Amino acid sequence: MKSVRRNISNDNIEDDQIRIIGSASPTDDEDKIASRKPRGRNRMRVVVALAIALCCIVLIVIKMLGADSPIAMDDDSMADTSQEMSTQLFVTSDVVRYGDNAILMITPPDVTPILQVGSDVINNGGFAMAMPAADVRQDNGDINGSFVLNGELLARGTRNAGYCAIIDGEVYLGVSDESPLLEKAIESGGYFFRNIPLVSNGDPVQHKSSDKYSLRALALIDDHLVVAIACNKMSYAEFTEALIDAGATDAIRLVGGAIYGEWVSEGGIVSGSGLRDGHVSDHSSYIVWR
Amino acid sequence: MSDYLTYANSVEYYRIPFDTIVAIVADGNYCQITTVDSNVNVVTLQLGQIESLINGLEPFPDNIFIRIGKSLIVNSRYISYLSIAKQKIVLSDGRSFRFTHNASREALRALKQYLEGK
Repeated sequence: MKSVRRNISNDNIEDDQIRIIGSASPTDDEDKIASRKPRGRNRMRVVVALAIALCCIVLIVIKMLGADSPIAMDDDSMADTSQEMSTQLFVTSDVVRYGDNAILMITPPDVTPILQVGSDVINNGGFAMAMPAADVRQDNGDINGSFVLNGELLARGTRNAGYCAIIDGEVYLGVSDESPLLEKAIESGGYFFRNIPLVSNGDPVQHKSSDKYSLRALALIDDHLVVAIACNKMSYAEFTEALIDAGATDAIRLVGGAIYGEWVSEGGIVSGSGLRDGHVSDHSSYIVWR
Repeated sequence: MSDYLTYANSVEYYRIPFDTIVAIVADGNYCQITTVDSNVNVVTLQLGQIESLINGLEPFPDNIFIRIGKSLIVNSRYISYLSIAKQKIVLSDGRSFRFTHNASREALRALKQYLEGK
């Protein structure tokens, strides 16, 4: 195995450059690439200088004429631009180590999530994050456990006591076979789904199985929702302890394993977990931040 | 033959076949290695360190890896689409996975030039 000298970084590259890894000497292509950059930069500098000069001339003319209205118009256009930029939502992520295990902790943007159902949720895109929410029953293909979509009750069941309710812009995680939030979600046009409980009020929910799975969770950490994805297979006990160690006060399982979920990080970097073209059905459900 | 990207720390050992690596994305002090099964392996290495790791392999792997800007390394065999206008690159095997990433127009123009010249 090759050792890695961690103090050596090979980052002498700009975002507008490429490098063929392993090339002993620069190729003609690389020469062209290298020579392109200064030209592009010089051209950019000329354009920027011309733009600044033009702006100065316009400002001087406006000041001489004593006209205020064009500046007000600029303010409006700037407001429009910032509004457009604010629609770009991204997740942030970090890795938490817990013994031999690692968990990818993904913090969605600070917007209220919704639930969506269908086989094209991921393909349709347009989200900061979409993660599979409730299990699909193997016997009849329906959603497992009570499920409310935009106030409509699509499925009923309490096999899993954990729940997530999204009502009037608030997200509630909890454990209860008969939560009043189910009815409230229906009445308010909200959302509700069930899955296996993992953490309740800072305490682990006990599970009999010691088998190891590819686990995911929706957790409440420091009053923020976090999606936790185990980077390697873990038992429920290990996963739950790791979540509590990371500060989770409440957490329920999200559908894990090969079922695909996707998120977008800053810069438009799209990442996923699970099999991209794995099985999905019309009853596949997702919790979505968009 | 160097068929695997191997990496170990005190508690983990990674042995990832080169031809299954689709892309490596920088994420702060970590990197996310996406493989053809859409699995994301998070390793505590920076992208430059992984590049050095690949560079140091002898004999060099058959797969050609390309560093695109500061935050991305791609396996060139899976490049299926790039758009300079949309600043987008797509890696796919046409069957089981699809990986999308953004890159600068200049970098994608250079990549297009390289691929056309191969």
